[in-house]
Amino acid sequence: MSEKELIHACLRGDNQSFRRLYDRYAAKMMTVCLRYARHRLEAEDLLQDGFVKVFNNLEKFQHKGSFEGWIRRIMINTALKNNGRSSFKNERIGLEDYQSGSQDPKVLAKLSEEEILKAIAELPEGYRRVFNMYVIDGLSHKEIGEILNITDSTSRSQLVKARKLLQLKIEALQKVSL
Amino acid sequence: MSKDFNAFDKAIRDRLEHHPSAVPEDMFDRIQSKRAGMAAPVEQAAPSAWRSSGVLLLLLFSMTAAGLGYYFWPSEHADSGIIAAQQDVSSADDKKAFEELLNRGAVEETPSVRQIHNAAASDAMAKADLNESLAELEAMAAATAKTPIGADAAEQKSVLANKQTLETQAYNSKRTTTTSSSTPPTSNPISDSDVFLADASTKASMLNGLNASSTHSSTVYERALDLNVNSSSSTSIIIDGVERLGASASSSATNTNSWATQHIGPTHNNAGSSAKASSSNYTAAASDVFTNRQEFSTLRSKRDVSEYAYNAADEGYNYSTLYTGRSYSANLPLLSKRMSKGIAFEANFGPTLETRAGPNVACIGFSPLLRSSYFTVDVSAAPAMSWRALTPTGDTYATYADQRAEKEMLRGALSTTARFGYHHFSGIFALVGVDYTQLQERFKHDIESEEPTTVFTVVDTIVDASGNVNIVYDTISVVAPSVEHINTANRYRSINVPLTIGYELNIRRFAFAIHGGAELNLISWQSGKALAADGSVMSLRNNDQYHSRTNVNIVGGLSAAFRITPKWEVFAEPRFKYMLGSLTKNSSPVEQRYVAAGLGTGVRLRF
Repeated sequence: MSEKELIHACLRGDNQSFRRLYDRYAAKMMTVCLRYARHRLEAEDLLQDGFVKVFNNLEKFQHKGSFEGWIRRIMINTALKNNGRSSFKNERIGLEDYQSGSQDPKVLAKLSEEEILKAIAELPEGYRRVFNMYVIDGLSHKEIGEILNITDSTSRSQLVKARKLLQLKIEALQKVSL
Repeated sequence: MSKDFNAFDKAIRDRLEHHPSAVPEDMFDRIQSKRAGMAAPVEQAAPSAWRSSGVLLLLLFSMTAAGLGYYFWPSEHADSGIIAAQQDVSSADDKKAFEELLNRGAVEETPSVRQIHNAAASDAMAKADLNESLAELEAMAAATAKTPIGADAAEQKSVLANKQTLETQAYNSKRTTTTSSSTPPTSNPISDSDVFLADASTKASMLNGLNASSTHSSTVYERALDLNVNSSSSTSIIIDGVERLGASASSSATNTNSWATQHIGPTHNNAGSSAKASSSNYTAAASDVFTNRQEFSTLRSKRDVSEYAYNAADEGYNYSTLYTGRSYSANLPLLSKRMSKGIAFEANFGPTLETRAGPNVACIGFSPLLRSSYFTVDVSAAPAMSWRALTPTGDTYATYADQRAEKEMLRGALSTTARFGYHHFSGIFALVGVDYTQLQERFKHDIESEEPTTVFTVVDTIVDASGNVNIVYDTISVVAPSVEHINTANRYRSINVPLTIGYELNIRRFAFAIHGGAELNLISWQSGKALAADGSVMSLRNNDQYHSRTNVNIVGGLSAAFRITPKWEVFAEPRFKYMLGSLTKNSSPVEQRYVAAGLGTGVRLRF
């Protein structure tokens, strides 16, 4: 059954089709939720709320773009609405003295996806959001600024700090694995 | 450095962008369960124009009613910050806070808070009722010099003995100076029951000490009510030698016994038992009743009553003897701490549980949480505007319909309604009643005729050539058009039975409602004149083109009510009526329908 047929079947209220649609995207969307959540329980809540929105708003999908992209955007929006802008306050991690930027990306290959996700989840809320939106979801600083109601420069600053902190965490994880 | 960062970004993205993560097995069920529990979206129910106008109407009426309320509201309420806090009672935050208390175990299931709430409501209603009986009681108290009650039984015995002696002496004195055939006063035996009299008096003092709570005053008030209710049956009760509260000896004995058992203590059960012995033995119990009633009556304002109830909540008194039903008791110190910040408290966890305690819980019974379901009877009148649709039943009657529309002008409408209502405590209500509606029109039409109406007689005098004079009479008829002006008031009358359901929101002494439903037409009749299809003028009375019973009407409206006494309200109600069926039969050249909208005002009795 094609994606379009599946969506139409869902719109007719066919429960089996809902299940198929869910099975097709749930695992990928769980990763999205894990990236934005602080812990697994929160990610599960986000996934649940996100799929409720997806199922309840299927008729609004106009088949103009990727359905997966549409679901992904709903999940991201759900995650972003889950916490307020207050996450950006009082995030001083003490990275000023950290000299970085020369980390070899290949070190990431030694870590599992779960470990990378865990490292991202440990980032402060504001860092995590900007990092996810910019690095993985491909949004520009301008778009991030509009969505999070912050300035472009704040977004850039958060991204730089997020990278630094993430590299620190990855180094720490590598030392443990060695 | 930047390059490294981009490589780092890309590496992260490649690893995570399409990476699947484990999902809990029951996630799909959780999603479907949550979907099933969600209410259907409401915003699609009405077109935006209707929704906007509805909101605007509601806003207008709310503002008007609020303005009136501010003007007429007694100052003791207007300056109360507690009342403002009450409006926060239904907020989600408070409910959530209570739920947290419940989860933490700070709230446990015992029969208390609901009862406090009920007691508070009862106190409030009692206050209202008490105002009526208070004057009588106070007059009674003023007319009576209470006999001092001794601190112990011996002293009390002495007081009673002296009193009895004096009464006997007075009677004998009177008897010797008059020829009265009245019987001597009944002798009051000085017995164990009089010991109870003294002990109960002491207990009464203790109860007075506890009177910071409404526990006993509420209870006592109930007892007093019982005694009063029983007063209709027979004899009177004597308090300190003076008739104070009417009571049936047997019923009051039972009540007193029960009351003494519950509130004076098991050690004085014998007091209640002995109270059955003679009417004088009710003195102590009734005295307590009387004293507490007086105490309670000093609570002049509703706010006082509220704080009275609040104190009771703070001290954790139990009302289990008065009320039944499943309810929850909160950790009262926590509650009181919360309430001391001016935050009233409410939680509603479903149909079987409504919990509420707070400084202003006792404003006289407008809140649905403070009272149960009730009935209403209302009468109202509404001047209205009407709009008519005259639709030709065939193309040949189009001109006729236009002519009628031109010659019949709408002149408003009038509706009077009497309804009976049942209001559930949840706010949903149903109304049924009788409605009389009169739609008015003015029919103006001129009838022209060409009948000869004037005859002239012409007298000619003719003189011939020979000089003879001849007089010739002739007549000339002049045809002059005449016009008959017709100007009648047409009335379309109907008697209907409206059946509506709605939802009512109570805010302090205001109630705002929206309702709608159907209206069954019982009978319709009309009077006046109208243009017939053939150009003549027809009478509407007994006209066979019209139904004597029309179809169903759709009715609805908004309402804003203001409570002027615990039972009486005045209300304003914008309402509309839409006729689904035509006034005319199928054989008529036109279909005639109306829409009417007006502003009803009236009074409503709650009971």
